[in-house]
Amino acid sequence: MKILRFSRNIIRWLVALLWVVVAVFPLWYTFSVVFSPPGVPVTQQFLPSSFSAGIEKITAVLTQTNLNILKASGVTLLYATLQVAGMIFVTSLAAYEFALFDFPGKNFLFILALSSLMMPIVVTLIPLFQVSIQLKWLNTLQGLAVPGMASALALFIFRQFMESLPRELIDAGEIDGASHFGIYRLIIMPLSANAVLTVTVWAFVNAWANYIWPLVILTKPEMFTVSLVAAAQVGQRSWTTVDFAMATYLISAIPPILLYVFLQRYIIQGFSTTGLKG
Amino acid sequence: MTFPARFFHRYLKHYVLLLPFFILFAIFYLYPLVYSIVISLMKWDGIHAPIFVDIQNYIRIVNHPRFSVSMLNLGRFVLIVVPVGITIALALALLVDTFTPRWEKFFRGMYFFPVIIPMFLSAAIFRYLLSPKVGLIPVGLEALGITGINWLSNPTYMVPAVALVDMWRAIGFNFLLLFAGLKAIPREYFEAARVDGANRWQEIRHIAIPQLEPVLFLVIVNGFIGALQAFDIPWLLSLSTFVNYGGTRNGMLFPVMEIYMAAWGRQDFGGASAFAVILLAITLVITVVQFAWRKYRLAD
Repeated sequence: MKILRFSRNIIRWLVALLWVVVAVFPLWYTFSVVFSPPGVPVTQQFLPSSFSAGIEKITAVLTQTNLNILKASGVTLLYATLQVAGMIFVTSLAAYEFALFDFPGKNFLFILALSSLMMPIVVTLIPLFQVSIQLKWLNTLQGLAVPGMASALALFIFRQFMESLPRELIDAGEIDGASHFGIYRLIIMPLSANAVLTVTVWAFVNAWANYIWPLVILTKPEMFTVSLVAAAQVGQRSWTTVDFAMATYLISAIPPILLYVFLQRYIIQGFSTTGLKG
Repeated sequence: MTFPARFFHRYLKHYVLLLPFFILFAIFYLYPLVYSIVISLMKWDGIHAPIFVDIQNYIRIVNHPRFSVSMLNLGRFVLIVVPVGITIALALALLVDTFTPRWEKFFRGMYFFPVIIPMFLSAAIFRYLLSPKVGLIPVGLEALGITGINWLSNPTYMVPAVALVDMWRAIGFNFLLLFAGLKAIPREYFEAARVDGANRWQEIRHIAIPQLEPVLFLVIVNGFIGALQAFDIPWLLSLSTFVNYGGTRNGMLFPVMEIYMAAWGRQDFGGASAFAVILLAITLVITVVQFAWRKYRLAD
């Protein structure tokens, strides 16, 4: 009986730790391939063995002139910032109304917004491309950023949060003579810092990962996002090109990993809300 | 004041603040949605004036051999990722639930890690890990005596390869939701069961799974919606380009890839939109059926 319980306990730990290995292995392996001397057989690349080789590869990637990852990171960072800023403004304003007030058509409008979550993105892709052409937004930051701003999920995250705020805050604001927008700006938003941070990191991780929309509206290599630059390296087979590709992947994984390491709580909060809509 | 004036006086301020969101929503979501359906009835190359052709795009697209190939691939993919992915996620959630809070937090942080890695990157890295002769997965399988599985060019294994990469990420996401759901079940339920002499399996079957039903339902609905849209992973794993896409004998051809190529590879915007509308209809039918079935089941 005791042995049975003991061995069951071991299996429990082994399985749980095995999945940890599965989850982190691909990135760990990328890291150790980059930090190994060129030409080491794949089966011996589980551990990084040469710091200088890694630095050399990363320098080669960073100084690459054609499709530079650093430049792409700049473009992606700018567009993501623009998108997140716009998203926070429009969705928090709308959520303020949905969470704290009553007006005719409220439920209809909210369900209309949320229904967009059920739709495959590809359905709107072709018309969005046409709209972007008409606005002359191909190869621009606004073309990358603006179409994704009216995010139903960000609206949902804000509404969930604001619904938990006491309504007395609004009465107090009105007594103090604050305007309708003033209450939003001076009372509700300062209290919603948690939701702002949640939406920010969640939306940033998504913007960094976006592949199909940049693929559609970017044709000029100097505007390429990280996703397009990294994707251009896929499928390399020779040693030097594999090393180069792996170093590119490693660099493009850094921003989301850093966000995860430092703001894990908010990322998990954001993603769990995205699953619990409905 | 008359009625409309009073109405506006009372509610206008609310609508004004909703306006920024709904203007963007209308331009970048509602209008494209309607426009898509309209274009699906037109013959249009994106340059010349569109010509109305009623449902001919639909007939043409459905009869194209690549339509059935992509749909079959998608069907196989969904039949792997939804049941297998969700079962593994549920098993992991139940497993992690048996650890102390500190370890729970550690495992949760680790298991969720793949979700924050962009899909284009997981596809890129797995393309290397799955490569014949140099990739670690075939090399590892060979060490176990399993040879001859060519994940990237044998159509039998190409959909499973896409599923593998997709599940690596999706399991982390589903795990998070199921685990949160599990933690929301009142502990007393488990304690009462234990007093009655229930073992772990009975606890899982009679308490955890029934209590998790709403979360499981959402995970399944989300799983379908997400899986039907697969693009990044098959597109990159098959090294698709404008010239050549879908991999060996279209073994990694998925509907969104075909829609993308019809539109931007062949300037057949009408046909591409028709295919997109079909995919939309399938998504909606699957979602509605699941909701209706759940309602029926719970009413019993």
